[in-house]
Amino acid sequence: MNTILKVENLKKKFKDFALKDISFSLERGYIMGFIGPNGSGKTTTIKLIMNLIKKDGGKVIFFEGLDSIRNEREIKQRIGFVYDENHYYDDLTVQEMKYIIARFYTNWDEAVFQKYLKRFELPPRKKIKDLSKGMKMKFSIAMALSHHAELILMDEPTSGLDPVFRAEILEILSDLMQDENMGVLFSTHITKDLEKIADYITFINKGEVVFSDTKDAVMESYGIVKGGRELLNADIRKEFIGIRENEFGFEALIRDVKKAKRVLGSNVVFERPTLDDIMLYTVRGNNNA
Amino acid sequence: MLNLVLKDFLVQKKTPLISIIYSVFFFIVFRGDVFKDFVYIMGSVAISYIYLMYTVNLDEKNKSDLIINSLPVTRRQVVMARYLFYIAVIFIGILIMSLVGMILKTVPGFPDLAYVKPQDFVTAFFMIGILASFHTPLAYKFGINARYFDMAIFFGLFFAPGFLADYIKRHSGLDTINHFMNLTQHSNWNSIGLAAAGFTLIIIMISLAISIKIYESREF
Amino acid sequence: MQIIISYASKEPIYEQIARQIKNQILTGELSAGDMLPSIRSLARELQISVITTKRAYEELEKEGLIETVGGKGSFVSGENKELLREKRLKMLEEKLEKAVEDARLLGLSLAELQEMLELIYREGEK
Repeated sequence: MNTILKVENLKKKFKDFALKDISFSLERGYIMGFIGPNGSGKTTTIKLIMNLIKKDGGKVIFFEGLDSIRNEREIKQRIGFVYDENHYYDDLTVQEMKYIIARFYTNWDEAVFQKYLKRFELPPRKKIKDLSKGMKMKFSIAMALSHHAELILMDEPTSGLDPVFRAEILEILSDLMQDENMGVLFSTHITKDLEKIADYITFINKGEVVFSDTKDAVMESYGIVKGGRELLNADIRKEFIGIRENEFGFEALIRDVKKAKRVLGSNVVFERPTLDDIMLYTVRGNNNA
Repeated sequence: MLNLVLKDFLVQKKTPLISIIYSVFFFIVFRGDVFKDFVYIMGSVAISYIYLMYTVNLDEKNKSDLIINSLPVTRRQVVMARYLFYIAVIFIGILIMSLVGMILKTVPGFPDLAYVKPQDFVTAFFMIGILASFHTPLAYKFGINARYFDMAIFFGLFFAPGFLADYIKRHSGLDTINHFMNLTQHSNWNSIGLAAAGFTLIIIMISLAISIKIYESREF
Repeated sequence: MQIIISYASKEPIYEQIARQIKNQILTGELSAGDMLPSIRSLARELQISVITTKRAYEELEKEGLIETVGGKGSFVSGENKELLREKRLKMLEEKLEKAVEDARLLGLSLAELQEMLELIYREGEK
């Protein structure tokens, strides 16, 4: 298979947090949504992938066989990165910053960059610090997409930005996906952004992978079940990943819709969950809020 | 790697202008007999230090190490480029001081001013080299907070030439000092300059090795 | 070609796409040899996952309604006239069933319904 990014048993320990055996892989031609609540380890994972922090164990393999440490420079020629905040020198103008960064890439394509400048309406002579948050992010995206990178890593590119902007990013991503050699890893806690276009979803919580699968498979296996409280007993509760009870009934997330339908039958209502539901109920677990 | 050196120059657009203003200020303030001979050295050191501080400051301001280390470069290259940049900065300091000095000499009524001497250059190289060699590993370890450590080194180096000159002048009758003066100002200047430059280079290399070690284990 | 996706529907997205393309083949809006948009451009237009459009096309291929030629794209099959006719007959039957059901609800007799059908059929001939 054409695996553009393979993360194997990645480990990292901090004083108050640990990333435990993170594994997932991304095929060329697809978008992977990397979801999880704040503090679940998304940024840490991306920093480990980029070798910005040192891993305590595991491996990251890029482009069918390049090691994240041994082949670092070659890999980074082929990666476009977008971080959640601006880390560019913000006293410089868009144009000046571009001039500095472009020189590092052998495949820098000025025409592509100019195309994005236009598309984003980025003023080339404006200082980065004078750009709005959304414009800073657009600058960052333009930088990431102008050297024919094969793998795009985005860490929370949509957080704190309005729906119009977020829709624009999604459009750009689906434009990118016309090239079946590219791969995108997109981390976010706003799962709505990914609900539509993501091909794969990797969900991490408390430093562990809850699942990593195609979005369609995830959406089909999980289900929301709603019913009266009299139905609840210990055996049934065991099937629930998370539950919310109120005076009039319960709502719960289940992992195996088919099985639940057999057990609970027509006494309950089944609904399709959103990624948000899956995240929310998983994080909350069986404790009532 | 040259792209990294270029980056360090281009990110500080205002520093050259600030340096020129400082150099004029230096020539005006240090006109006295005691400092007159050392104004070039002091000015160069100060200008280089301005560059050093701005560089660290700008990196810290937006945590730009995150961007730099996401580019196709190794950490070793990042550090080596930074040292090359500092060496280039020493030349810039001297250059600015010399040019401004030359211009000021043409200003009518400006107090008597010496031309820059090769000795000034070697001394400045020695001082900034030592300063940067202490400063850089500390800056990689503690970021902008390294400036507290710098202060000690900085003021030591900054005032040393003045005090030394004063000392030598007051004790000029002593044989040892005379001998030293002869040594430094006459026949053997070349070999002393060479020794100083060599010594500085060794210190820089040691500092570079330490900085690479620190930077390679840093987490962003 | 027209495809409308509903996120409120219980029907999975890939099924919605497959069903709508199938309908358009059966109704003749898409005819044999017509080229379908590529999996990736359809995904972009609909702003959905590539895997979802891929799966929709796979369903259609399984039913023999479309064919994918490597490197060229996907086309509406031409060799399944019989199959198609059968399918369309089945669709017609389903529609008639619905009509009969409605007729029963309204209390129409078979004769009345036949009369109505005849009228509509004749109208179309003119």
